[in-house]
Amino acid sequence: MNADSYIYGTSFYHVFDPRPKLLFTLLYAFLSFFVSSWYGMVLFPLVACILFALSLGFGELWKGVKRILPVVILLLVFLPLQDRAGIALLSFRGFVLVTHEGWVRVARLISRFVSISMVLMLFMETVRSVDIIKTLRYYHLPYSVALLFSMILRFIPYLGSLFEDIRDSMSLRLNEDRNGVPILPSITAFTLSAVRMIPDTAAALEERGFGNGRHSDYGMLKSYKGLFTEFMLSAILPIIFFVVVR
Amino acid sequence: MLNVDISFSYGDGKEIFNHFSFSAGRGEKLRIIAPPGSGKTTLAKILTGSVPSYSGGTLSGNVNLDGNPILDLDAAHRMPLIGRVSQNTDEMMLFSSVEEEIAFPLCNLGLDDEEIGRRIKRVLSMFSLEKLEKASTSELSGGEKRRLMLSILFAVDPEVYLLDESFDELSPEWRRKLSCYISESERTFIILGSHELEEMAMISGPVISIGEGRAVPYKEETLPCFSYSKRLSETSLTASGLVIRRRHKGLPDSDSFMLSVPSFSIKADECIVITGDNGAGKSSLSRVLCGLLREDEGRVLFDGRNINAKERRKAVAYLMQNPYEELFLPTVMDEAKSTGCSKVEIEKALSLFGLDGNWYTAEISYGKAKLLQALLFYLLNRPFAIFDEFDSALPYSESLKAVRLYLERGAGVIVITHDMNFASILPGRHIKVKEGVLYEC
Repeated sequence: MNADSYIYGTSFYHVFDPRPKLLFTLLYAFLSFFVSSWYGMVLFPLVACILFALSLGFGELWKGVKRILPVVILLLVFLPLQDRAGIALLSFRGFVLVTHEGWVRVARLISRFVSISMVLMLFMETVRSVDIIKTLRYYHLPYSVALLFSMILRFIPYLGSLFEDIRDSMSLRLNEDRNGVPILPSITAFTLSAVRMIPDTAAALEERGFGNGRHSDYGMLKSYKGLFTEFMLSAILPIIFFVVVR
Repeated sequence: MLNVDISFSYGDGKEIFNHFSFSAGRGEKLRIIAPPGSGKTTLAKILTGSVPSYSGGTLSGNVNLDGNPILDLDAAHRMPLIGRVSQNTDEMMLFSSVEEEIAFPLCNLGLDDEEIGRRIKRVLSMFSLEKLEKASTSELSGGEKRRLMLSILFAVDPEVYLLDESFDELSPEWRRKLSCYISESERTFIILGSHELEEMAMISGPVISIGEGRAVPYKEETLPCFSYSKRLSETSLTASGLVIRRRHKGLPDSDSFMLSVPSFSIKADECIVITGDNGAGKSSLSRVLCGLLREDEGRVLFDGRNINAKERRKAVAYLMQNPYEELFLPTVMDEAKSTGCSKVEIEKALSLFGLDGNWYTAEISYGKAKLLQALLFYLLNRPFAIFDEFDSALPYSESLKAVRLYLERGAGVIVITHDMNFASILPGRHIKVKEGVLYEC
């Protein structure tokens, strides 16, 4: 629930133009699918984490890791049990728990998952949402789709904070047990509030002139000297890295 | 010239307007002062086109601007003609950043890049939002959100400005500035409010009211005297050495905010008024006192004993600025029953606050929602209560009645307000937040 996650900074990754940065992000995520060596499986997520720490600091890196940690643990615990045919690495009373093949499969999945999550989070946290939309428009995303994307970037965090507000106000009024106020009334209230927002949002869009047939773009990203170099670096660096470690 | 003559009923048959008519000449500043639930917000929405399109209901009559009927136009095409600032700022927020929010309607006017940039710069400067241009809209305070909504309207610059309780949540300084902007503008303004503020009176122009769905002459509200029977109590809430820091994630650290509270104490049955600029941290302090936000330094004591966040939530009621944030059940009666009080107590409280148990919470006006919010915490009978800008959208008599009921029950009441008239009526100490420090006046 934290899509509007730009964090102010002056690191090299912050000042990197968002257009080549998006290319780099997508290419890095794409290449992580083709890594098969143990080196690659370790280095791909590790480099993404180092880039994250250098851009946003170790505190933010830890926050990012904490977000994906539950999924990583679930993969580690349950996935080997799905793949028990092969060379046994761990067994209990004749029951094979982990095989070499299963372990490789899990390691590959975790490597991809962490690499993709970290580079995408890094992109979202170093580019303002308004610049993400401008970047998508630069890549010829239709206006209506970019608008939808822009509103999603606003409403996902808004819905997150709405849920927190509802929990807060319930905690002021209702009795709390050890886990706080009951979750079900919060979800019901949240759903009702979210549904109520639909006509308000539609009205707000129309009152601001959406759909009147006139539209211009504001502050579109412009080309400048050095942009081509940044694009080239964004493409070449992940490819070289991939070729070395794959 | 704007000529309005409308009749309107919602889908359930409830009549809001019956030949409600008024005129406003070009450049005229008309104030419509009427109690909550009289239809001010509905009027604003009818004029801008979102009612009945998004609410249902039957609308008849005419609205002409310079002789041209505008009811036939959809809301999107009315934007250059008539625009509004909503009472509930959250319902009008569409984008993640302040800049995007202002730029969106300007793009829909088909303006070029240079003109959009020029207008954004102008309104950001008018409403001192330059530093927040890149800030996330979800991180703004109530007053900052209000200024953002005003800056959007001033950037679009329609023929007719509709300001629905737009002075609320603004500090006295900003209220005066807004009055000046309105007075200096050549556009037509319709200013909707539930009571006449001192700063609104600076704007010259006619004033009308709404009574039984029709335009009626406005009768000035005399400021009531405030008295209550005191119950002596030794229960106290104390804060010492509190430091609260808040940071805009998307802005440099230099633009972060800090509030320091060297010492603060309130006894049950005491009333304390807190005033201060927008974004000074009044709501953050409230959230700390009622256990919704963790302090960075210092401690909060209840009867001399340290209390944790969970205990604070049961000791301090917090009536948030936006009442809808605290209402989540279908009807007024459902909300009242959730307090666990007996039917007799609920009936008595409903009559004290002038509410009907059968009303749907989603359909009641902003002002009535505030009264319902007050009723709920009144039933919960917490030893302390914080009224965060409760007086906005309510006549003085209603706000004072709620405060008095709490005090007479023996609760300690902290009232946060920007209205100096309201503050002057209330008894007890006055505390100010200035330059990041809370101190006694």
